[in-house]
Amino acid sequence: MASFDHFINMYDIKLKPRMLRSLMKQHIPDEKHPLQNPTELSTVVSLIKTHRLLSESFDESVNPTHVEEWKSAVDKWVDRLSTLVSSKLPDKCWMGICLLGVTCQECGSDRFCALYSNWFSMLLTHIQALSDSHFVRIACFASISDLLTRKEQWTYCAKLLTFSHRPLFVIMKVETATVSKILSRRCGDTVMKKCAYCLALLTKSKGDEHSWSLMMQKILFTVNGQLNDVFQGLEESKGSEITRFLVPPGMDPPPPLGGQQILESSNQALNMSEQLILSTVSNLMLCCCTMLSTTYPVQVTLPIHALVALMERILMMDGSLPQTLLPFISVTQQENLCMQLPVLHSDTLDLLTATIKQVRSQLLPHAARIIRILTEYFQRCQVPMLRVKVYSIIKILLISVGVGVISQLAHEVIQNASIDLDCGNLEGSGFSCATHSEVITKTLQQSSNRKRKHAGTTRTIEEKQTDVGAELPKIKPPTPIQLKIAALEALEALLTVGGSLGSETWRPNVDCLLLTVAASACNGGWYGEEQNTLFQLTEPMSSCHDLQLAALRALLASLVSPARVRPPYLHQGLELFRKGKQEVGTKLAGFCAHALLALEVLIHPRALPLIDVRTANYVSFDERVNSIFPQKMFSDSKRNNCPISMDQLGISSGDPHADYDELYDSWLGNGDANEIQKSNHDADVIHSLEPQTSREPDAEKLVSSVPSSEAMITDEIEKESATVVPDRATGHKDEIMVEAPNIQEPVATVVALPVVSADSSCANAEKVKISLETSADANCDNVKASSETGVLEHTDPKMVSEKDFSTAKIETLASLSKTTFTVSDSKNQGYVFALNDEPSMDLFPDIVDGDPDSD
Amino acid sequence: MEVVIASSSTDAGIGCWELQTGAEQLRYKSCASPSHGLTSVGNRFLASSQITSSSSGSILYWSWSKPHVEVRSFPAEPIRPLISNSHGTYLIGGGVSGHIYFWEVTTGRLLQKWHAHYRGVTCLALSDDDSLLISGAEDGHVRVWSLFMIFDDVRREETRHLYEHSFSEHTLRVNNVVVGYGGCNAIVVSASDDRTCKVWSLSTGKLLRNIVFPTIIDAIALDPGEHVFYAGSRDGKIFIAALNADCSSSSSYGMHIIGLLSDQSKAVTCLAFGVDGVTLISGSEDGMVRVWDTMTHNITRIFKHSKGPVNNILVVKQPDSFNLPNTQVPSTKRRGSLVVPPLDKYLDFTDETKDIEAVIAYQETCKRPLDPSYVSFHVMMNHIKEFQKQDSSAATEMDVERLKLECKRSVQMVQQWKKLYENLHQFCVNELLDGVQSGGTNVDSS
Repeated sequence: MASFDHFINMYDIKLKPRMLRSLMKQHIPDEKHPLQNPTELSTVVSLIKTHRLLSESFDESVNPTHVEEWKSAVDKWVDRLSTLVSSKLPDKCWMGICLLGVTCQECGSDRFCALYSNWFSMLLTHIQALSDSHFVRIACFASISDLLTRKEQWTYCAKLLTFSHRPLFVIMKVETATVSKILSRRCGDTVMKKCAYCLALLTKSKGDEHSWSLMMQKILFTVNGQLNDVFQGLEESKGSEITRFLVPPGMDPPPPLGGQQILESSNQALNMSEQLILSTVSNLMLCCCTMLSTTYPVQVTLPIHALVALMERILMMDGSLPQTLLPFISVTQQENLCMQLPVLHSDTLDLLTATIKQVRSQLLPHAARIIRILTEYFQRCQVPMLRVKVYSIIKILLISVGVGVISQLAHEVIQNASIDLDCGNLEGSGFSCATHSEVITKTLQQSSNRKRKHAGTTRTIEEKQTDVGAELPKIKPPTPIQLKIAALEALEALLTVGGSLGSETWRPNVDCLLLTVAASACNGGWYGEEQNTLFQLTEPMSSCHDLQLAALRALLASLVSPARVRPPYLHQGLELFRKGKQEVGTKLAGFCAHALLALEVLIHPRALPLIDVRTANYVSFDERVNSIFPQKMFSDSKRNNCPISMDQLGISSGDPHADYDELYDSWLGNGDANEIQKSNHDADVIHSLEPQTSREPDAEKLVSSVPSSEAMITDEIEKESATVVPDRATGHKDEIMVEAPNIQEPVATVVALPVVSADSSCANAEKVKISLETSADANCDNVKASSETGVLEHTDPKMVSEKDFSTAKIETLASLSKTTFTVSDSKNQGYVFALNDEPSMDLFPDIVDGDPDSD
Repeated sequence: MEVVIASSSTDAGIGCWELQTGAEQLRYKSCASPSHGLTSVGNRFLASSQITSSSSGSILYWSWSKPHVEVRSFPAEPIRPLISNSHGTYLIGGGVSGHIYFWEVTTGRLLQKWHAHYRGVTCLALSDDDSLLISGAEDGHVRVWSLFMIFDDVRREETRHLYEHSFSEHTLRVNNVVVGYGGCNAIVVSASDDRTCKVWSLSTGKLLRNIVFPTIIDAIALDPGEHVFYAGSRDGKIFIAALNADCSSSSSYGMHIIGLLSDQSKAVTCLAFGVDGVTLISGSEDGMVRVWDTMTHNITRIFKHSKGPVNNILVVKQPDSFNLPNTQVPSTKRRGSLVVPPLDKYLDFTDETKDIEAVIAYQETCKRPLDPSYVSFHVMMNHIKEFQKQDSSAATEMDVERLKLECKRSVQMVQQWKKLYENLHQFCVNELLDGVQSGGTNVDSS
């Protein structure tokens, strides 16, 4: 009968029990037959997974006899598994355990609910038996973790919280068993890791707040206790303080991890070497990490104070003997400890990362302390891989805590990064790196000097800093690529989060450093991505390609991040990105394209209207400008590499001042027009000086001297305006302010012109005019003629006003507002004129009115 | 579900309307909040400050699902403005004496308290990365605080002043402060009784723009693109003031003011933007909540809150599970009744346990374990791979184990066979002997 009862198709439910039975018959041995070939197992599992043979899920419409049949087949399967698991032969046992893990994952909820505790105890016996083979143990831990995962998921779905409490005693047993594994250290490294993972999952499966906190407390307590033994004689006892944080006075200490017997047995084993103790500590910390980073169905409390104190204790331990204590440990002991310390630090840093990630915004009250620990550790730490971790933690902190950290971290990050990025070795990258790096080292020294004057209180830290700075150049080990990448990423985060707040002191250095690094990284041509494949056997190593990518990412951040002056290395940056874009098909090319897109806004600042009836016109105009300008800029920069090309570039591209400056200035329409020009003025002074002599002393002086006077002026003006403002008699000033903020349009480049010309000679101004003409040429026909003349005539009144300003520093308010009136007025008309596309003739005479002021 | 929430200075409760449909939701009872004294804590529950008398006040919590007050706390002095960070971990309140209070929500601890202004704090705002706090006060000052700095005990002692910036250009009481987009590069707009709104730069700490209005401005809302801002005035008009916008067309209202939304209402006291960035919601002293379309400048909806003045409006995305109280019984039980402790009154320096613990909150990711990671399959595949390799020690170990067992069994088998053989041998011998004997006897007998 059965042989002619064909299936409908491959999805027929009748097929499933039949397949399951034949699988069992062919591939799964019973107690009589030996295991043929373990590789068959993968076929079995993949079949089970693809056909969902164990799921027992079906529609309502299915014939109940088929359901019964399937059920009995799965029953048989489960029976077979339990015989396999309890088999004496290790290979069969291994197979049974593996299949049990898969079954936990695949079987239906009802069956899982019914059989869960059986399976649990079956696996438990294997965990407790210490004699099993390596494979069996690993498979056992894997299966039990799957079981717990499934249970946790199932618990959630069914919302039956009572269920999770039932096998509590079982879980306690597992805890004992697992902890004994960890403490006994009889297993290999992988098994240990799995143990730790299981221990972490245990609390999750219990799913209540108390057990989580208790477990955390227990683990920290144990770690602290173990460290007391290891660090004995190397530090003044910090352990008791942490214990006080963990167990508030008047409270009982937590029951020992894994029960009383374990503690005793580990006490017996006290004479074992430090190495083993430290590896236990590492495993327990891994366990903490997992506990922190897995999600929980309830909210839990973390003893963060104790945790931070413990991490501080470990990170501050560098193996040195304290001066105050008499050395009563042997040299061998110290040697052993020092050998293990980097691993311990690495685990601690991992734990710190997990903590920061998990605690999120609640970190705020502790952020200052953590940062203090980190900065101190950073100064001591010499191991590259650990430094990589510190950088990544700093990156996370910068992004999560936000701007406030900048002032604390900036100096530290920059100093360390510039050492790690090895600016000394960056010679000959084509962008006059020698001077760059000189500048960097010089400015860094200056800044550190400056800092020392400022903060004399932290003397010891300063001393260490100078130590590091003095020693490293002598040793000069090649910095690993990974470390460089990490340093670049940290700098990138620094610029992303706080490019502008209080950054005057460090910003120029960082910009310069990043350009140097990017230029030198990209100097030797582009590394292909395929380099990675060479190392495929090991971990995916970071290659030069990644370094280039990281350098370019950081460079983009430095160009885009707002600052007080427009990015001084825009031209070089664009050049790099354009070159990189030509590496078709690499990640790098993709990023370079993105970078060019991001920088495009910098060159053509947009202040698009929200709703605009003239949308069509406006867009087409903008597009035309865009389509013409990039080519022109490119050819310009290619043709003449002389310093002036950058000026031309800046001006012809229609953006002498990045959006920040212009926006900022345009805000100040209120009688502060002189300040606009003032600030533009010093921006351009820096700018024009830059290419020939990158940051000479007098340029610096200018930068430093100008803002103070500027601030003074601003204050005065603002005071004045504040007194005037409240009454209604602000008549004509109001009108000026209405018109001020239009500077952002491309044609509004006029702002820059008088600045350059006022500062340098008249010849320079001529040149500028010419370049403007060419740019206007590039524009479409109907705009061309008019804009040319229009723009040219605009420049003049402002030139005069700027001169006025520079000769007589502060005039009366009345005369000031008069000059600004003419300026903003004419500026505005130029703008309207350009924007409207059709020349409105009635505006023209106004512009010419302003003209008599010229020459 | 996007809801509009409004409260009043008279005890008219907290009104709650769905923005899309206009349907009125639950009305939360017994709330008479001061201006800026209503906030949603991480979208989990509502909190509002109350001023009962000149020397005492309280802070009340309402959960989404219940109309009555769930938790009452009594701070040391009346709190006027109250805000929470976007995670809902902290509540920040400004006292009438000029102190700012900083509580942790999950524990109720007062983490920090500092003297921020000479007179009462009127409004608070957090930058979009939750790291800078901006406060406005009756003394006309607007101050910017870095929260990191507030908690850095060492540096707090080193510096002369705690604040990052102090803007003192306002001559009279500051009514409202809003922060724009962009972390430390953002702009701050403040409104004051001196009939001006001022735009400040957070990064440089300078005044960017001063806008004089015909009347006093009480409420500000920033357009999400920071193109313009909307300023609700005491004479019932909502002025549109330019930030980025083109304001070349001169208007009759004053410099930088490019338009007006008006509905002949009483004074506009609060403004808020909907999630879509187009809908503007205004609350007025006549007890109405108006919903505007900023594109067309039309009113699309009017909610009636009460006879008294509306003085707070929030636009909140309420959690969905709150809508389905029947299907998820355990969930709403957990969610519905607040497990949040009341806020501490005083800063506790004596207690050793201060900030000793952090609470890892119940996370949204727990909600749907979409793809749990099972490991045993991969472990098995790895093992199989090891088996295929000839020289794998672990695989060999298992083979050895197996062979040992087999050997043992074979030895047993051998023993068995031996025994059997011996038995057989014995048997045969016996048989033989017996046969001989019996034969002998037979012979004898025969």
